[in-house]
Amino acid sequence: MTAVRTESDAEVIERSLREPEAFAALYDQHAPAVHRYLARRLGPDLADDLMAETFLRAFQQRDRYDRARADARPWLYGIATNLVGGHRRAEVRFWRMIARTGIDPAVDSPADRIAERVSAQGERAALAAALARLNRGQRDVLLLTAAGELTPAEIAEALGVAPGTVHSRLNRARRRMRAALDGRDPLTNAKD
Amino acid sequence: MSELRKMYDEVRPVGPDVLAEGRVRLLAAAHEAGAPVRTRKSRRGWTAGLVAVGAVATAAGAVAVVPGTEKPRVRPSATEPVVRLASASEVLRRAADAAGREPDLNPRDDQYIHIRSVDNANGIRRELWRSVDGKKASVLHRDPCNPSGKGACTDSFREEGRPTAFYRRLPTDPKALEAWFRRDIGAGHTFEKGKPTVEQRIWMEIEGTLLEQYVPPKLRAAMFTMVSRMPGSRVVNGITDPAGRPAVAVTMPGKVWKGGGERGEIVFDRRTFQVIGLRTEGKWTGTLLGVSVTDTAPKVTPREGKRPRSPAGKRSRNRPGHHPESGRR
Repeated sequence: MTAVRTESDAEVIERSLREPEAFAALYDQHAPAVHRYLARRLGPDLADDLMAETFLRAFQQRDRYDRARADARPWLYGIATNLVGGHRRAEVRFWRMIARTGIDPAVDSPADRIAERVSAQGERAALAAALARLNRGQRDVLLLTAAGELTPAEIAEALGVAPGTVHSRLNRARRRMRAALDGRDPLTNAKD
Repeated sequence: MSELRKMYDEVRPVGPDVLAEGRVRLLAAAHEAGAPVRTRKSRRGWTAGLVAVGAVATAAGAVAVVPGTEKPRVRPSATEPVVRLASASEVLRRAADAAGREPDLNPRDDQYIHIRSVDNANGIRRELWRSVDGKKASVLHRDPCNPSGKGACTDSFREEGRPTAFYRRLPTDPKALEAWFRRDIGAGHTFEKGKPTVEQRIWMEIEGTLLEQYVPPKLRAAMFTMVSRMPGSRVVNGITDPAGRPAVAVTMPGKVWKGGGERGEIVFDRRTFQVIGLRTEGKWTGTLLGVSVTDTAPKVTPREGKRPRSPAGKRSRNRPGHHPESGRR
């Protein structure tokens, strides 16, 4: 279904103003990553629906897209993050559940990884508990950073905040996480 | 690597079924955006017409799953289809074979048939829970509620006419079925000049039950075998379904008559020959996402200012099977 495409995201969006079906190319390219981001924050069931919703909203707002931005990922992650914001309590419940049970519904756990899972679970539970305690802005920045798709400048763009705000939120989030993780940084794993 | 990044890396990748469904939803919206003017006829054709026909009309229905959106219940036939299918009867024979291999959902009278679909005329997702014997209220969930609206809504309605259980009693031998159809359609009706032929009427009856009704696979097989032997059907090659999969359609073109005669097409998956949707004159009207059996239907609280009504109820003229304008077309 996904052929190699030579158009940029911005060109696809522009074309979709005349040919709405062209928007599907954007979906084919980015839907799996958007789903992964949503599944990480809300679990797979909500992610299924919100992934589709992200692209429906993007489609409806496509005439407002700034075509100077060739890469549409900041825009899509911004929409997805907004949708996560509408499920803030569900997200906190989700992280707390992982913290309590050590079971992570977003992750497949095949039998051959069970041993590894058990040893890693303590750490994951602590991480999940710490994530549940962050405020929304800090969690947005930290989890967008960890998703690894966007630069700090793009995260600022996605969230509609100043780049300086992204840095300060990220620093605060990391500090709080380190305290909960035995001094280990949540992103680099380095110990302080 | 840090535990946080690992948490992302280990997230289970999205399944092809979920991806396909999201794509169908997106393209339904895109389709609507591309054709904002086309509303009345095609929407009625499906939202009202289908439930109406499904609930009231004669005919056997068919049901299938968009392969990929749910586990296909039928494996692709051992012989791969040729690039172009030469005739409608060949497509219909393959569809009959596929239906014949499909296991029956065997719903009990006290259960519900749960059908998920997309109305491609307006992008609305529809979920129906139809009481199998029609003795309990059926439920229709729409998301969004109407083409301009944002929220979803859920309404209950009473099955009118023939419920799902009715189709479980029809003959599954093609000849006997055809005899039944001719009796049923012919009863009390004169076939005038410029009106649809009996074959076209049978075709319409069948079409009307393909998206929002469930009939046993054996009956559906008999139905397709039956129409494959009738003159007048045509194949439409080179179609792609809204999820991007290759499809093939069959139509029964006829004279345009007063109040009807739009060319309705039954669309099959090119690989499994399961029904995946309906088109009218080349435009998608409905896409089927999945069918299953449930023990319960969602609770419905009457909406403010809205009297819950049957989607079929408004159209309680005479029996739809006898009036082209009250069926799909």
